[in-house]
Amino acid sequence: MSKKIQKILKSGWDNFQRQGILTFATLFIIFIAVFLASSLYLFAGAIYFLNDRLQERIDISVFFKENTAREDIVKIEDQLKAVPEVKKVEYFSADDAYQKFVQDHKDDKYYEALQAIEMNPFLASIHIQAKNPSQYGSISTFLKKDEFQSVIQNVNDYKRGTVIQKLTDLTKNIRTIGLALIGFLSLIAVLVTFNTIKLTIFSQKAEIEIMRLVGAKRRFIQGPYFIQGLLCGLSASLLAFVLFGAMAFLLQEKLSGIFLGFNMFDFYKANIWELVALQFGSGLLLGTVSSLLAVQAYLKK
Amino acid sequence: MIKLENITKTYPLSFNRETKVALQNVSFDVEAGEFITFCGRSGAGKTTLLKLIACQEQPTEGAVFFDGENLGKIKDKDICAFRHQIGFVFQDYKLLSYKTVFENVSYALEVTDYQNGVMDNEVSQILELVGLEKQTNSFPHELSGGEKQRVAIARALIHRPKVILADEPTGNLDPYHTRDVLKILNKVNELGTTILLATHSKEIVNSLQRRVITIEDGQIRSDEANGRFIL
Ligand SMILES: Nc1ncnc2c1ncn2[C@@H]1O[C@H](COP(=O)(O)OP(=O)(O)O)[C@@H](O)[C@H]1O
Ligand SMILES: [Mg+2]
Repeated sequence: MSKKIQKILKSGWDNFQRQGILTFATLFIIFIAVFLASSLYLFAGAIYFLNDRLQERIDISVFFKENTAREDIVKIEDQLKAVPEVKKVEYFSADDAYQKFVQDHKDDKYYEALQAIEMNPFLASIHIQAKNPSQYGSISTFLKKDEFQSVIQNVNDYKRGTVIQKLTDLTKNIRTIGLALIGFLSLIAVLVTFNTIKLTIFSQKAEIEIMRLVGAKRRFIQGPYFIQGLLCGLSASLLAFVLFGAMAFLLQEKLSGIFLGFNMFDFYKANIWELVALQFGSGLLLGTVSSLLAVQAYLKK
Repeated sequence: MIKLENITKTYPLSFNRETKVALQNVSFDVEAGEFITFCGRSGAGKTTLLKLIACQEQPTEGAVFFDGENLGKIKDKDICAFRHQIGFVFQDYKLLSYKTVFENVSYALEVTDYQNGVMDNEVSQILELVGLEKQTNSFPHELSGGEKQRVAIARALIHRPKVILADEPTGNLDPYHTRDVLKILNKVNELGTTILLATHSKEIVNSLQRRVITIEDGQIRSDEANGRFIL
């Protein structure tokens, strides 16, 4: 490493340590931006999670007449699986339904009522999910075929479409609005960060002027500020990484209720490398680019 | 070596349309190795004159030449090399506030292409010369005015410039240090460095017995080879 580069590194480190207020202000604003970026990432994750959850909840349930043979149902299942729009077909026997009911109502009066009738009132059913919500219409039509009517008790297709369509529109809107909000907030974060750093470097105007008067070359002036920005970005990202992880850990249970079971901490763990890249990438980029641009402004003759 | 041709410098004043004339039709030549004192009341235009020579300000009219080169036309990339040939002592010190005394002085060497091995030694020597060997690790805000001024002087000397521009370099010094600084300036002048010194002090002007250019209201009133204080 050349002596000059060593000098620049040392000088940047010295500035980072000595310019307490400048360092703190820069570090803090980058921290806020990185934390916000992480939150938005999390928010986007939650939106997709919610979207999937809602779509999973949309399905067509087909209830079969009592005593329908399992083979007949399997035949229909196979036919359905051959339909290209169908994503998933799930069979639910009358016993399964009974068990599930018992499971869900162990402690209440419905269970007593069920025991009182001493039989299984449930019907066997299959639950069909489409690859795309707009395809429920055609699946529903498919099930209306005459050959099926001898075994099918009823098809719960939410009045073919209207509810499904509404739900679909809703999830689409949530996604669009959410992503637009994320884009908007990111833009604001970048602008605010850049301007704050520019203001803090404004206090360096006199220093930069002195350096120029003594005959320091551009690179020699810019270098230490670059290193200082890098260090600020690095510490801010590290701080955001740790605090964000802590927040996700502490709030995972509280917030999963709101987000239909979305677990922040699991999400954090599952996407850790992407998050690390996002946090350190945005932190280092903000620290270095804004310090470079701000110093550049004072280097003009 | 340095040549000023019909220099006029006006500063725009904010809030009204008038401008302030700081220098008017000033011309003179400086030979290499000279020791010139610019003498005048405060507000006469001494600082402005030195700023023009340092290429820190541009003249409104006229031109400044350094080694035959018009400073008004100097390119951005050549300005560093130009500044390496000059040592500055500013009236307001202009020290780097987040660097220690030692680093402030060594900075002027680092910006030139100087070998590092010799550097630390030389910085220590020059700090000893100005009597700051005990404060090498202090920061500017921990120093008195006089101490800051001596750091500035050490910084102006360290890279052995061709010319030293010194604006009131003894303004904040006690008589002992004033005498020492003048001694140092005389010494480097004997070794061939051109010195341009601005002062309003009668004692200094009279003790130097060198060329004196007296400035009054932005104009040269007298220019004498062995001048005395005449205001
Ligand atoms: N940046 C400036 N803007 C406006 N007026 C200035 C500026 N610098 C100096 N002046 C004016 O120019 C005149 C000469 O100033 P200066 O060269 O600093 O004098 P000196 O150094 O001899 O005291 C003064 O009247 C001062 O008010
Ligand atoms: Mg002055």
